[in-house]
Amino acid sequence: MSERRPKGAVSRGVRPAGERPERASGEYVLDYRENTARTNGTAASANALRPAAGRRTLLPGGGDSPAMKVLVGIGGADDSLDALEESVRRAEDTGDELTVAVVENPESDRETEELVEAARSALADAGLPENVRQLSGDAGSSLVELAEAGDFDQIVLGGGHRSPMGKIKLGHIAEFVLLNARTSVKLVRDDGG
Amino acid sequence: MAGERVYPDEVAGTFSEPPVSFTDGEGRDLEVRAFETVDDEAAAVDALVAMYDDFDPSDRAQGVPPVGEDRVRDWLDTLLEQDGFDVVAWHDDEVAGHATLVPDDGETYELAIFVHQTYQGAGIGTRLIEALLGHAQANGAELVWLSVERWNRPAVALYEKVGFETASAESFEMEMAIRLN
Repeated sequence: MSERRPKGAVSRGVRPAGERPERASGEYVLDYRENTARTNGTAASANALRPAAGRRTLLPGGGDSPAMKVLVGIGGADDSLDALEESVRRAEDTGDELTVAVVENPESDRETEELVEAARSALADAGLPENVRQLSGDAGSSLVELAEAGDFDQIVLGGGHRSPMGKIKLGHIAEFVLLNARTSVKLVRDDGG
Repeated sequence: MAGERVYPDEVAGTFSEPPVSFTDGEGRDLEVRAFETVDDEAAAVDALVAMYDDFDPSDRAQGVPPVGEDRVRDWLDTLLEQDGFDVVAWHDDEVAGHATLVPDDGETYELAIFVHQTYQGAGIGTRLIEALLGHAQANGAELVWLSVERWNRPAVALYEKVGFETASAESFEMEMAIRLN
């Protein structure tokens, strides 16, 4: 069962897991509950939902929610930039250790150098270390290899684009990584209508 | 990706244009009509919204139809305002199914078809898709493609029956295509 929330309680960016099951991260669910309880269920601002910097939230199991070592793969498709944005936003809250891997995506028109620069400035703007790597060769397999070699907890990728009809279609890189990664994989989806 | 999609060389046969009246496998009388020929467009949209709002979420495919009346209405508005083709299967004032062609890159159209659970398995999908293709064919449309989850065998069988061929099968979803003119 998914969480319900009053409409308008959360602005775009930090949403309870109920609205975006693919972002099911225990922190958001619990933070949401705590904050709505504090505000008696009335509309809370997005900032109120953000945990204080450095705070650790209790998970259902009772342990801490440790910062994760996260590998974000971007190839230049719009959805990959959503994944970058979302991961940076999360890392600001959780202290995740982010590495951005710029991969070769034949389906994208954006230049690699442009992506490296975009990733650097996104990290810098958020006050995060500018860990940006450029991967050559097959995008999917190089991401999976780096995730294993670097002992990452999670790979984050864009969650696909919508056809004219509105049907979701995953990119080829996401399909490969989903099937071949040994780490968890997170697909970031824009609200998209 | 559009670049990898392969369309059949041969033009498909001629499809009948709507309106089409028939009795379905359950003995119900239905009529398939082009959306733009309805008398009351607002009422027709409301009837479509009602069908999608009551659509079994487990029959969704690749995120459509969206869930919730507001999202359904937004999605339908987007479909209907484009320069595509829409046909609706009516059972009296109730919508049994809807098939749509959405313009893609100028010369191709993406197809989708939805039959409400109450009306599935009665041959309505075949009538609906044939009427849609007949409507588009008569209006000069050339190329139509669709994507379908490869495990959705009933849907794939329906598309093959009316003449679609596999256009790309290297992803989770397979693409099928047909040449109308």
